[in-house]
Amino acid sequence: MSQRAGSHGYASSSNSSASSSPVQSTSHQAPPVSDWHTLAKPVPATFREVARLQPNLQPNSPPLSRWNLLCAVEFSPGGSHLAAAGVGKKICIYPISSSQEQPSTIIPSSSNHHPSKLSSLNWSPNHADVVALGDYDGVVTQLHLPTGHSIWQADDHDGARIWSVQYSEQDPSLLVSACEDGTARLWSHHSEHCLNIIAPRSQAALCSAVFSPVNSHVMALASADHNAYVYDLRATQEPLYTLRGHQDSVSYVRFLSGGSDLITASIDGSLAHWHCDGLPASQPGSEQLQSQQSQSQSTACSMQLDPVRVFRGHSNAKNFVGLAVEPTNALIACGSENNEVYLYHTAWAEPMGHQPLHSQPSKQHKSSGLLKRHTAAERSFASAVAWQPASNWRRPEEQLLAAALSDSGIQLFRPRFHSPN
Amino acid sequence: MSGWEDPQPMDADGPGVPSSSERNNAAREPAVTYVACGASHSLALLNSDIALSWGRGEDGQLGHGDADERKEPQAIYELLNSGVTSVHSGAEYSLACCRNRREVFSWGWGDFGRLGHGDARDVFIPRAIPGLSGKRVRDVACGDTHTLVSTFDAELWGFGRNQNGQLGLGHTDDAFAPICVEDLKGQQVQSVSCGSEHSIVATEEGKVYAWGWGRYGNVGDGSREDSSRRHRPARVQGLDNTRGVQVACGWRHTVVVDSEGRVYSFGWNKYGQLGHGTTADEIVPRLVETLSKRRIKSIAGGWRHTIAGDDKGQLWSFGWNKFGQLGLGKHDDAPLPELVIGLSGHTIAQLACGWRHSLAVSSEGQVFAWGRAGNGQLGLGDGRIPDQFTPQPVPCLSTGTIKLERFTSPRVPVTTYVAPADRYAVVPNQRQNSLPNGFMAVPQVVPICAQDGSPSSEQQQHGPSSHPLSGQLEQLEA
Repeated sequence: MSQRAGSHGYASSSNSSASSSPVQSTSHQAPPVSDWHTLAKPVPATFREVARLQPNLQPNSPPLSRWNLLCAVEFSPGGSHLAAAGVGKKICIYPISSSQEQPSTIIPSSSNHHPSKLSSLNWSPNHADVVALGDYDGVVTQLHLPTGHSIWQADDHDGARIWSVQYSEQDPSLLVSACEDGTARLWSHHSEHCLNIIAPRSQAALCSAVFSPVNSHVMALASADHNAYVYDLRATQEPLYTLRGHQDSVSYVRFLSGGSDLITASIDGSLAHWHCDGLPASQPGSEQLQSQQSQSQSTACSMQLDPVRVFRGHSNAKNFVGLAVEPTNALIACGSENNEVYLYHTAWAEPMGHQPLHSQPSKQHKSSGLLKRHTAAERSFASAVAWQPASNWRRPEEQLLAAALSDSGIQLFRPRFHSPN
Repeated sequence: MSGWEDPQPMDADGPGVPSSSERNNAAREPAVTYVACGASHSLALLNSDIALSWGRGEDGQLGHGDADERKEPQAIYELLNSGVTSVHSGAEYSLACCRNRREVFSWGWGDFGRLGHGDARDVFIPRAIPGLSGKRVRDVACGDTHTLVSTFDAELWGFGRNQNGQLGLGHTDDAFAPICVEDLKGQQVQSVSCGSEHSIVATEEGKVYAWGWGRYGNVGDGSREDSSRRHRPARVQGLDNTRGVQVACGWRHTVVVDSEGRVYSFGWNKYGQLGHGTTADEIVPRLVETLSKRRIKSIAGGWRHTIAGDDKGQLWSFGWNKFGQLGLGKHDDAPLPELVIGLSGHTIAQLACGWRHSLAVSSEGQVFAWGRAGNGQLGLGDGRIPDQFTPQPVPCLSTGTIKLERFTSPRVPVTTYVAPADRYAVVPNQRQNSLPNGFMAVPQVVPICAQDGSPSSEQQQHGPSSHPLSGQLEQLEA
């Protein structure tokens, strides 16, 4: 059953109780998070920059690339490091100190070279220093960062670009790649042999594939056919749900922490929130699985859903601009083609706030003219966003958001919430 | 990453590249004389002075002005009637040599200065390299991110990335325009090749020098340690009793052919690309025993594979074979050289290896392609073509059936540049990938519709850039 906008805030999953969502402190007199869904207008948010991440190992070294377009920015599971990877074929690792307060510049602690352009990166949930990479040559790699040793590589997507790779939190031995060839492939951490292929009927390119955070059998896909899908991996002929409503390719899909709600992003310029009633809220036992499976299959072979809410304010008509859901407060960050990062909350369709990102031309570039743009109109966009994992902050003011601009580096922000008046 | 055989001796002044067979010369029938392979793209030269490109194009490496893939060979408009005598590929960029006119053109990914134009911009329509204008260029070698050019005047010029000393200049500053490799000045280089981040030459005296990144032993000096020693050319060990005449590099491996036709290989060997029947790296040159009964005349290094051509025009391939890039009819790796039976009956005159594919031209001008097909790099046409494990003739390039007008009818590029934001991190739309060959519409932004379907006020469009070649179009038709 679909829910109409305005009827309630983000889904009444178990995480919405006041006790588990830290209340915004009194320093800015913003209303407590538990009250947000009662407010008609968004709580205003501003951003305080706390660090800039330099693209180069040494500040004076030659420019790697005038546009090392960063496609993936991800915090490590413990939040102590940030990995950035992109079209420049490089993975840079930055140390993130626990108290990032004064505006500072951070340089990479290490970097790894990759043969192909990188579209996506995901840290292994349970193996320190291991990341999965997806690249433009259709290769999935598991990389051990300190040694640069590639644990395995799978080149099975026939040269078609991979747009996302993701581990399952519930079962970290599983990972999934989403590819322009219209398939999502399931891999085991242990070897490069594909476990399963999920291919929606439309055969349109897949832009994103993610596991449910509570159930390793459930996966969501974002497709260029304008839909998102939720699949049960044990029965992939038909999706459990078809999320239909976007007017253009769906570029990202993310679960909220309860596992019943999803956020999608699309190049129709909107984000959408979807609620899937029948999705299991926890990893069930096998009997429960079977009965739920037959239940969901008997209600509809594939249930079509409308969005709970559609979010607008940012601009997105062409590129992957990044989407990150901060699970405990259902804060949603996304990039925008006007070089800004936008903050939404599931309670409101309008943004809580937005922040321009700044280019970082170095003095060297300016003097040598190497960064001459081809035309004045060469455009850039915010290309990736990531939230530091919640385990890193004790108070909500410590939430850390990383945002990358397509032609330069990364900035770290802390959002601040204000009184609506 | 290409090898070739010169069936006729080169004139010191290099009046022109001899065509691959006298029959072609006499009849002037159009035929391919040269092929080159990059990471996922291919180049060819028709002896009627038409340079062709196909395969992946998102970095500008095809030179058609857009960022689109081509699944079939298309003539490079800018180079028509430019006197192209050879074509060369780096991983994601391309070069063309016009020996008689003493110009070298480059195009594709421009980072680190690998195109030699003095900056790091990507180039989508071939541009002449000012620093090489007027030079009597003998040979060109392209790696992943650096380029070396040898001249008939005993000079070696390098440009591009130099972080591992791969330009041989004694330092690690990138070069955005050609710089002369002083250590080799005065020595006439007869063969030059670039790997991912290393370089190798053979001089006319038969001395072989290598430099750059060498942690797999691929510079052949007996060590896995990089140091500043490797920022300058150094003699490769163990070849003192031989005269090296040809060199070739794969990504991290190196091959030398000597005057007797023997093959030595060293460097990375995880896929058996050294041809010794093992997968252990070699840090000094080791003779490829299996080929010692043959006289090898041509050699080409692919990403993780190697192909050698003998004096009978037969090909022997070894190394990584996951996509059939060895042409052996199977896709198991081959750690020992095996005969490419699929080419029996043909005498191969020139060959090239890319990252996952290979090309060869026979003395009759028949072009064969094999390996990965997914990016159109085999040139076999539209449709979902599977990887080819055996050499396939490229239909539109086969002697006797080449329709020149197909290549020379004016297809003026619509765009001359595609900004990175318009070709990377672009969300795919429902109708797949490439538009019809040659006419990439200027990148359009899809109108944003409000929830009820009415178009919103936000609607951006990029206008077409004015095309500088339109004047030449009339000249061609006159």
